[in-house]
Amino acid sequence: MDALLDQLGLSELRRLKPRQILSQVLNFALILGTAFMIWKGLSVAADSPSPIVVVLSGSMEPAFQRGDLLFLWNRNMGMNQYAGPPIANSSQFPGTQVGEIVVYNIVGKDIPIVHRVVRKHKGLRTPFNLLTKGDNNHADDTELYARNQFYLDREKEVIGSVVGYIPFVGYVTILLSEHPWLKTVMLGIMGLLVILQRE
Amino acid sequence: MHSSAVRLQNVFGFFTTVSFFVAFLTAISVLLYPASPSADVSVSKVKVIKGRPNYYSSKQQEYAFITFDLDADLSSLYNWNTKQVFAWLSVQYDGGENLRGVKHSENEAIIWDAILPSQKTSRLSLRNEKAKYNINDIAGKFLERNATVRFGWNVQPHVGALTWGVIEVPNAVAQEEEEGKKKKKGEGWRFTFPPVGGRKKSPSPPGTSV
Repeated sequence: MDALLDQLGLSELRRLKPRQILSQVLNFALILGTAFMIWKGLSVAADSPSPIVVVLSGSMEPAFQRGDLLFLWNRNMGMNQYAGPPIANSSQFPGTQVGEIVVYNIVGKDIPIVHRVVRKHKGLRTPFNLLTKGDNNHADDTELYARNQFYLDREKEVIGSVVGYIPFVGYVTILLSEHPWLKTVMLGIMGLLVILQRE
Repeated sequence: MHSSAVRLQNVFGFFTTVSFFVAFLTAISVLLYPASPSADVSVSKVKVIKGRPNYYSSKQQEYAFITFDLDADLSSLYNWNTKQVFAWLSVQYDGGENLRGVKHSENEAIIWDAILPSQKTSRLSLRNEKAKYNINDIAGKFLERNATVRFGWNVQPHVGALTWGVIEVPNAVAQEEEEGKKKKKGEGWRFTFPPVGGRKKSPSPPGTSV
């Protein structure tokens, strides 16, 4: 075992006592746990399964580019003014407005799409129907929807509306998903650093 | 410890802290620039024509061809954190009174939009502009319903929160109209979808039965 560690250049590990190793592992778990809690906390606050998304396509350029980070909000409760234009006086159905930018997941397709709402149709006994379009696209999204689907269902398919924007920060995740081996390397390096650090 | 790894880590940490702080201040600073955009719209021509959604479809539905004038000044929306302004014109119509079988009582559709990347492009003056999108109703028919036009915008920042705004039929004008004073202004924001092809169904003259 010792020879192996020496060969790998990790002889430092040998000098750690079991108690120290345990505390470092605990430290690492704490960091992962905190990140997970923040994510889930945001998710509950925004009522969205994915409160932060990374832009994957150029269909909303020049406003949103690949790798930009978007914050979503999926609650109405009088806070809709932050997620879209003001509601018309005559409106009986608060919620998503025309002009708002929504993120939707078509049933059966797993890629979240960030596009602007260009049409809204709602009745007392109908689903909240939306039509979307990317600002940079020529045609609306009918082609992206399922076969013979012409409108989105607000309740079933939309996971949130864009309220905040940070450029470029999410590009790391695009790199990670396009080159899966990077994930393993990153996790390995992070784990080693945490374990080897002695304070 | 003064190894190069630790130094690199410190520099990177400091860099991220500073950039997040600057981004936060930039996002907050927008509050110092209150905006007062203005817009006036006048719908000049509306035509409803039957058509098919695409060449291979056998479904017939109505399409509205709208022509309008628009004067808008969005220059006050631009500050150092404005990346672009997205402006649009939408048509809003309800289920219509006394219309049976209309399921959707709230409808809105964008007929024209524009990405305005800089302050230079933010003063709009369009005359007899044709709608970019010839809209169709979800149920296929407009049924001569009344409609109003809304002008909206979305400010997209370099970093921070997105903001929205809307200009509708001026309230004061609506009140004056209620009082009986006929005023031209504000009428351009309202229109009625004409019957298909512009033909008016002539009511059968009294006394005849078909």
